[in-house]
Amino acid sequence: MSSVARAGAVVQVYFDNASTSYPKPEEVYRATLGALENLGGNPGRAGHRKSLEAARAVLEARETVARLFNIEDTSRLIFTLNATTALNMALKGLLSAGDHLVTTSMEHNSLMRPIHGLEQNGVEVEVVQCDIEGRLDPGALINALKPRTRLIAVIHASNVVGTINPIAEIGKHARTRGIPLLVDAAQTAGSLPIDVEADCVDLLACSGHKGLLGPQGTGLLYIKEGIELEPLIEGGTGSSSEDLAQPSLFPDRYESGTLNTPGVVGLGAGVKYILEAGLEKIRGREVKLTTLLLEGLNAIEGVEVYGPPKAEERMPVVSFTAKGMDPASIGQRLDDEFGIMTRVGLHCSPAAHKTIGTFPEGTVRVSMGYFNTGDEVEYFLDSLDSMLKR
Amino acid sequence: MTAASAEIIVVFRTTHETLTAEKGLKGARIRTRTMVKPRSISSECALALSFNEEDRERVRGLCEEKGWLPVGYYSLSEDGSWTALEED
Ligand SMILES: Cc1ncc(COP(=O)(O)O)c(C=O)c1O
Repeated sequence: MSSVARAGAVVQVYFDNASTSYPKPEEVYRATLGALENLGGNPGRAGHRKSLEAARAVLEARETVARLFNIEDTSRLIFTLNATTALNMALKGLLSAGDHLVTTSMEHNSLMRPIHGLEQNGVEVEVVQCDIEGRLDPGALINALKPRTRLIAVIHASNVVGTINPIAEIGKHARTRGIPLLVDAAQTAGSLPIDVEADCVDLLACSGHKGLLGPQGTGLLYIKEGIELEPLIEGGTGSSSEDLAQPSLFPDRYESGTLNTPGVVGLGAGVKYILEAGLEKIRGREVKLTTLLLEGLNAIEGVEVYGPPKAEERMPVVSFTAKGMDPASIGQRLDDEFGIMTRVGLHCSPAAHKTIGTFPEGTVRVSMGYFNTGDEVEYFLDSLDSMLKR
Repeated sequence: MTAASAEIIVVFRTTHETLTAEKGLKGARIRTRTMVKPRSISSECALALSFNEEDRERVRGLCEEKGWLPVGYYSLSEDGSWTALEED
């Protein structure tokens, strides 16, 4: 029996980091609570000290997060509620009837649903089919481009099987064709290097509460200079109050309403933690855990693992099925009998499950993070093995 | 306040720009105070930075160097109103 099971009375193994990461670094808890307790004011709304302190803390977080993605003009980094809001802002702000959009068959519903709505309103959508391991052929994507293509929208890595897309390669092609590239980095931000300049990313959307280690209720959208988005939400910004028109300047244009200040400050602390640890170290640990998990799963009889065979080609997100058993019952038993928290079903990504051949049953998904351990992986493998033998 | 340390304010377009400049000026050890922009000055931003007149050239130089884009500089007249300073 692994040391996890021996360690304490109640075992809890959190393997649902692709939904939201847990635990967060101590620094994130302290910063979030500190903001709630001490930065009482509404950032940018008044000139009193508490409002100014809050606004300064938001600026600090913005600068920290911008550093991670090499965003030079920090005002173009917009704080959102989550990745879904960021994706909606980008898609609905940019596309209108008659525009052509190219995307992939591995996208999350947070992209597929707004696109479906846009399609009803006259946007033409082309979905490039990925292979059974979730791999995108960049050549096929480039072949799908038309003179009317207004946007390329690509998931950086799958939330079902972790397959990583070559965004820099796609970005370079998109840039030469003058077509903006939107990247959904919900599964990669905080683990893989993303450089909006070198990778030619025009719009970057991601969650703040997954790999960036921030609290829930945080996300971000980067908008490159020259990209014009109609704001999805309009309202009070604390600026130009006498003018009824939505302000034109960043970040105010896209940040109407009171920000999630404690969340944003916590997100800043999460990214600071990542910058200090270094992406290489974080990614290295995730690859190690994924290798261990893939080897172990492949050795269990009756288990089928989806996605690329090598840990280096994927994020620490692994989907599997077993012996024709309902993934829901595997997930339930892992939690009830072993304290292991996974996520089962379609993971908000029916298109991706169709691509890998697991629709509509879905899979059991194990998604790990920087704070998981090899012992936890071994405990999970032992638990699954014993469960399937019974 | 003596004549030698007359107050100047610089106004930017957004809170983001104002507080970025505030941080930069403080980093350069220029004494500055962040305040609510006087109503008579029109700008999208509700805030302004005030500093002493003798630091005016340093503030201007830093704005240029860092690419901050002030809407304008203003000085306090004897009658209590704010007058735009001519840009050179
Ligand atoms: C690839 C991908 N995109 C978007 C999202 C949506 O993220 P959020 O919950 O922050 O809106 C997720 C979250 O599951 C995701 O995995």
